[in-house]
Amino acid sequence: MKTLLLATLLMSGSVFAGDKIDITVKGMVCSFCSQGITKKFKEEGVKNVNVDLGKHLVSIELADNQKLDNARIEKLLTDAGYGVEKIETK
Amino acid sequence: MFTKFLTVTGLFLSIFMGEKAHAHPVAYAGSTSIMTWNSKEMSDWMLTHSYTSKFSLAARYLRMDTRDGERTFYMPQVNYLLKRWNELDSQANIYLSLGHGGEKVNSSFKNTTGAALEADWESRKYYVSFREDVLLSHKDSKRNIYQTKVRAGFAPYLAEFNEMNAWFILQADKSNKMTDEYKLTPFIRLFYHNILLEFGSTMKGDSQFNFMVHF
Repeated sequence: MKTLLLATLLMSGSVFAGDKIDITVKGMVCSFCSQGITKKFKEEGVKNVNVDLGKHLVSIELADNQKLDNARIEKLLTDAGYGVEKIETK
Repeated sequence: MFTKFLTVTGLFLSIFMGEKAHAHPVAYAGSTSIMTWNSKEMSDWMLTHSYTSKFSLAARYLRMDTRDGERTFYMPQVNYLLKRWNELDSQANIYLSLGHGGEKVNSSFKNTTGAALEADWESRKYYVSFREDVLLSHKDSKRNIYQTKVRAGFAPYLAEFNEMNAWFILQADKSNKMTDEYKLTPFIRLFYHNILLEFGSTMKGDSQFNFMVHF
């Protein structure tokens, strides 16, 4: 039971290699100002970053063997100056 | 001054609220920006490095043709994001900038303190901003410079992240050392990825050119 609980805690809020993640971002209304978003995720080593201003969406695809948890994703977007509404792993 | 700032900002927000495109004095953490505003009577250059998304340090060079003649300032500056409102369809910001440097007078430098308060609100379609600048001369308060700049703009089409963005902007600005009346300047703003250009012309035909890049 303890092992199961620990595993659940470790897995929650974490995504792993090959995952595609959709992040709904608040305040992302200007492409000139949003350049930091792609830069931050690229520096983190993600495979692809796609920004859709109309849908308020940042979609990232993790590189092989890459792990990125929700807290880290939120930190990267905060550093870029934005807020996070929702994080969804596909 | 602060009351005027709140009044004007509040007025603009009340007009436009419900529906972004400006080079902020603080950009994303770790970024470096070059910003320059140029007209017949003024050149303003700023090299900025943002250490966090709320704090940046800048080196500023400012040359102005004023009633007192040509004046040139060199100033290190601190920029701070006082408050940001991130919403799904908009973003609003209040920034404070403080600097202390020198005004070159003949072959010597006179102590000068600079401060600016800036507020903006932007959506993908509309943009308004207000900025109040002061440059305080330590030796002679008659040489103090006060500048007010108000801008409003709209995007004729909604561009996506990797497309060329275009904006029409109307700027009204006034300086106690340059003109007694607000000067109106329409601008066309174009930006693509990390490069932003603005081309403007006053009603008298004086051209203005602004350029910004961050990396």
